[in-house]
Amino acid sequence: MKAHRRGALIVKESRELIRVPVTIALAVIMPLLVTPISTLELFLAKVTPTLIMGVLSIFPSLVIVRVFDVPLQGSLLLFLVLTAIFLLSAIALGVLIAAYSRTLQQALLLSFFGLFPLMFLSGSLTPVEAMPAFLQSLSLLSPLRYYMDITVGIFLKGAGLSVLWDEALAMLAIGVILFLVSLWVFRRRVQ
Amino acid sequence: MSSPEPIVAKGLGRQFGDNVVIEPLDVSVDRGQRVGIVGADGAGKTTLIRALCGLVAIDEGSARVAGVSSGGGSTALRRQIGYMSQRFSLYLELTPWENLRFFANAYGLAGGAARAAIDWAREVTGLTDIPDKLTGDLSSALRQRLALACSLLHRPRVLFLDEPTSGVDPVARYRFWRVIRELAASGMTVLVTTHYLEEAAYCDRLALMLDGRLLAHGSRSSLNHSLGLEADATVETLFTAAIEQAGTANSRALGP
Repeated sequence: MKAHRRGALIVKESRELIRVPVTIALAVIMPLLVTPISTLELFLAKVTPTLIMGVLSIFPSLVIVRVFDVPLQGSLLLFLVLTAIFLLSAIALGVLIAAYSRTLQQALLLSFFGLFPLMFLSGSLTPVEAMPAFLQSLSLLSPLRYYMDITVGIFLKGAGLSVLWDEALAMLAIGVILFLVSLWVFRRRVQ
Repeated sequence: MSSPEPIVAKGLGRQFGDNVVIEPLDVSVDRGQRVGIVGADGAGKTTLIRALCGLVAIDEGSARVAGVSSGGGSTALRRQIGYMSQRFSLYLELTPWENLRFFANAYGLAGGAARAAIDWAREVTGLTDIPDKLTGDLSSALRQRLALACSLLHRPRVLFLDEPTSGVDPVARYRFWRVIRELAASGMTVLVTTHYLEEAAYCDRLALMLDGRLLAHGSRSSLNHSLGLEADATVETLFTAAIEQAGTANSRALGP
């Protein structure tokens, strides 16, 4: 897949970073805080639709991919499942940014601090191998790095989970950690 | 076995950073009472009510509402209380019906139980005709009654009303207080914050607050008596006398 197409895919997926802050507005949450709805339920109610919409928004991209004759050698189902795991990290980052932002503008600005390092460290613009050793190590923390490897692996090489399991596991670990941290921060901010 | 006192606070205090918003205070409210928390803006009324609801953490002391600890804002507490704030109580982009159904579901009511609860709340609050438009397009008075209806759906034991009559015309305010009186008569305990001193006349007991301090609390007649005022003294006179007394006490404590 060409670098600019990969870049477009990254930007599309990274919109998740700013989608959640829009919904976590005080006026939306405040009336619910006095109902028996728990903070975990509130958190999941906010995150689940974003996750579903994120996965569904892959399909228009697949049409564009078809138009440009990019082959899909591997399993679409595996790609969707691993996309959902990647979105866990993106949504968790979105929740973290939202939790510390007072306005939408602040959230948008803060999201750039998360979005661009993730993009540059993912290897989509510059190969990871060409980066200094320190940045190469740092790129291991970017879930987008693993997602890029997975995307290229499934689309172009027809790779399955037996090949991509280490990337999937690393992405899942980062996603779960970020998700738990964002839940903790969300709970604290709400309370 | 008798049910626990609806509201009991002992040494309840709260500060944000170095700013003491509520100095440690004791409050006790009996079943079916209407208690008015009266004070100027910034007196700590809203923080006190939110601390009792579990929306704001308590730094010092403790509070129990309907027998449940207010600390941490547990689900058990939320099932026992209703909360209405003039600012955040409704979803303005939903219709009134959608708001009612949404809050009924949020309180765990579904199907026939939700319909019965909505019918009851509409009847109690006088919401007979609900216009088919967005809540944000309703008049302040109608929105106020709708917010009250939403907070009553689960028939709470204790109802907290935070500045419920702000920006509402006098007639609507009178009607609103009539509903509150009926709710209290049915055994519901109501705690109201207001900066309209004349509205305090609708309450059984008053809590007078200034700069985070509870100056005095009790029935209007007992407060008038303790402050050496005439039995028919207005709430404004009562409040002013309480401030003056607190100022004198402070001066004595500080010395010459």
